[in-house]
Amino acid sequence: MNLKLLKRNLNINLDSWLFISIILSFFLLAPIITLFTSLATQNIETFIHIAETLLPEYIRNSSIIALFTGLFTMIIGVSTAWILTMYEFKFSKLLHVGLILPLAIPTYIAGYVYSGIFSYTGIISRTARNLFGYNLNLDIMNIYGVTFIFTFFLYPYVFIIARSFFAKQSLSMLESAKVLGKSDTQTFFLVVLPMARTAIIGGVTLVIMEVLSAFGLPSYFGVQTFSTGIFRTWLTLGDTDAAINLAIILMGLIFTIIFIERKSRGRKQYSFTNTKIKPINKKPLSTKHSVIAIIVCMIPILFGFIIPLMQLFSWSFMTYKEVIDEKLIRIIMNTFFIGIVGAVFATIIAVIISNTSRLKKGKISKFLSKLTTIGYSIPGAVIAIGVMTFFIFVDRKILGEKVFYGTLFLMVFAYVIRYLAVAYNSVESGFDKIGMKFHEASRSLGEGKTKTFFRVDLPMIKGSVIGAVILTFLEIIKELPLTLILRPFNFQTLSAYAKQYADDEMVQHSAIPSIILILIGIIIILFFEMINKKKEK
Amino acid sequence: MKKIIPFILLSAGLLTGCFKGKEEVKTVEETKTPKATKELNIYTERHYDIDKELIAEFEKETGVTVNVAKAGADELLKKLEIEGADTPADLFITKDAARLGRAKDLGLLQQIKDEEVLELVPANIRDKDNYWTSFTYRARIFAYNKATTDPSIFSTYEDLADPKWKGKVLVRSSTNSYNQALIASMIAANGEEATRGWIQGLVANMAREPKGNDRDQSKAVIAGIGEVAIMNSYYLGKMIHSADPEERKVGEQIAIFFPNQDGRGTHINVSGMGITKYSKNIVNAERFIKFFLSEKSQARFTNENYEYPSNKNVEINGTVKSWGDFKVDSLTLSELGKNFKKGTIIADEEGWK
Repeated sequence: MNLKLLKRNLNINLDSWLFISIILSFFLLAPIITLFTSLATQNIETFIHIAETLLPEYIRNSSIIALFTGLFTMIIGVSTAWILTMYEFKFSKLLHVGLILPLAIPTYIAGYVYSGIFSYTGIISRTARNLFGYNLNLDIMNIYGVTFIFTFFLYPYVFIIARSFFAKQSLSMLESAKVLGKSDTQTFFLVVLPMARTAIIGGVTLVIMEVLSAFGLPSYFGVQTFSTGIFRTWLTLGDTDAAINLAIILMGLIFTIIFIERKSRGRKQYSFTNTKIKPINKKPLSTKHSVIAIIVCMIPILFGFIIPLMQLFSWSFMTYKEVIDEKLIRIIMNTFFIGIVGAVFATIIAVIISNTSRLKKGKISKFLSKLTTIGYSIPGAVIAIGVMTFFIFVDRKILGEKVFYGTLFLMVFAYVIRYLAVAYNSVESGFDKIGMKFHEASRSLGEGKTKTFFRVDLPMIKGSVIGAVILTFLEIIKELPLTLILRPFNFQTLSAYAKQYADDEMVQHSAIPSIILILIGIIIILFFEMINKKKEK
Repeated sequence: MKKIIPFILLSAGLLTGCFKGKEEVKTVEETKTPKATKELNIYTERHYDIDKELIAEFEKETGVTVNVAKAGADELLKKLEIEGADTPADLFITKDAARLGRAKDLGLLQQIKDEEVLELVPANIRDKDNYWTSFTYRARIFAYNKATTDPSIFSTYEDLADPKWKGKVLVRSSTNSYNQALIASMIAANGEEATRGWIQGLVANMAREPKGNDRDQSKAVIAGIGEVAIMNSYYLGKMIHSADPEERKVGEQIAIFFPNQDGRGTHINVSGMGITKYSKNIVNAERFIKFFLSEKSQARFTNENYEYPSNKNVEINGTVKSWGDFKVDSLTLSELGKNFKKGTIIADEEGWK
């Protein structure tokens, strides 16, 4: 019997990477599928009500917010990334770090802060009233306010991706453009932007997905979006069918966006043409231009970081005595624990699936990889209920005893579903960058897929993998509705703690947990930066 | 890099180990016989510091370990529903009667048997079949500017739909549970069609699109955006005693009017609790209810959280008392659970955002 031949045949048919990916996808999708199976189509009264009265508003608000947030984050993210890549000026290193920091602030906390700043008792109105006797009626709790906050707290997604793409840019391309007589501006629009398109659109897509599924900020500001609508239909009106119908529409929307993103990439899969990446020589700026560059970079830092942090500090001075106690330490540890566990799992799974879809060009693996990242577009509360329902089913019907339900496992599982896309995007961009050349070289030397993965691919995308863990960690510690629903008894996290005070109209008291959450975020981001720096060297 | 992989695998293994450990602990706890329990599991929507402190005291006094899961009432209700007989929860605590009524209607609660405790609470602020009892309540009142408004112009909730209030009414979104309960009470009192008409009038009279929370409505009154704000009484107490001096200033300029005093009374939001149908620690749940309704606990609710105590023997806090006595709308309280979905839909249809 020709064993070798048999083995080779098996290898082709039973690709272990694909096999594991399919299993993982199945588990990740199971909770979502569970929800759909509970869909009955007879009872559509509530849905008709919603479709007639609220749906147009949901669609309008969600589209406006997504469109403008996408546009503004792109402008801010790309322009600042480009300035910092190309030019040398004072404080540029500091600004670079500063530009990422808004990511440490959850958008709902930003919402509390800005509504506080703009409220009647807030700093602006108060100053106008007490100093100038002038009564200002400011209002930020509307769709513009929501867009403003999403923009200034989510643009770092675009910035990070664009910046790392620019930094890896082959210098020769830019030089060729220069030699051909193009100015910096022309080079940017004609050469760099088209090349970075995939990366930029990837970042903007993340922003848009985040915006579409965000619940805390729009609901606090009273702006009705798909996400608030689903939540409301499901939990307040108690109508599962209608909520699922809404969720399907939202997912359809997201799929369309993802589809457009993929299409826009087309066949243009740029990977490096040579192994040597020459770093760009930064151009020093004159004093005048330096000032302009600093101002441009400072605007997002000011709105997205400095102002909210100042407000939070001033609130914490009012309330620290009541909020700080020994329980807070426990809450911080919980937050760390759940964040790290969730992030590590999400990243491992992202690496597996992403590598499979890279190696296996077939439709199935591509489809699965897209499908598993759908969780990012589903509001956390919906995922939470899907996960609950699924594991209660598993415990009751399959295991016959309570094993999973009520444990942290559910929380981690749900986080993975929710944030796989974040890890996936980072890992995938790592794979995109290294291309297939090295992999193919190793394979042609007779190494297997798995061995090649560990010895060639993984070391090369190490930075992206660590980046995936960090970004996912950040997302998880900031997460809200899912955390609230799935956490076991007595399990408090910083985000839930902050939210409870804010819900209770005790915004000042939410400042301490918010600040700690943000500080953790900052430390993590600085760590991320350090690794990136190392990677660049 | 090679070193990292085994590390990741190891840590993943350790972590799954952690989960396993926890699960085992859980199952051991759950297999205990229900009578000898030393624990109590609470699903609560309330997350005030005062609740936390009282729970800690209860633990100290009884030796019972209290486990708390906090989330929105709707989420917790859904959780109870999905969990069914497997629910770990013994007590369900919310900030409005509508959710308790709904839990009762969905068959998620059981009757409270302790007559002695129930008698501390006036019959009109607990469920008529004893499926839940309130332990505190707040009034949904009109807030106005002391300096500029003469309260004699106020009368009822219904009156706010009158065209004379055009551009003067401030109220938050109808997605808020306090407003949903208010609308449900209007349906119970006046019927569906009249409530629809009322909402139409109210929306037409709004000084601005509904936004912000209850405190924001009173701030808007002082800012001169509108003349009357529908809000929850206890927030005013909170504002008067706020850590923020600007908020205190607003609180001191606000006065309160209790609507519908000549009729059914002012609508209240009760904080209440009920024992879950599948509770495994009924004895502790009853002890807890008794503890929350004890004079000692009740005094703290009113003095530290500016709520009205449900225990009729307990003195109301000074600040709260200074707003005056009022007649409570108690007729509609048990009906809220039935009406609030309908009410929410009507509010949507009539454009109360």
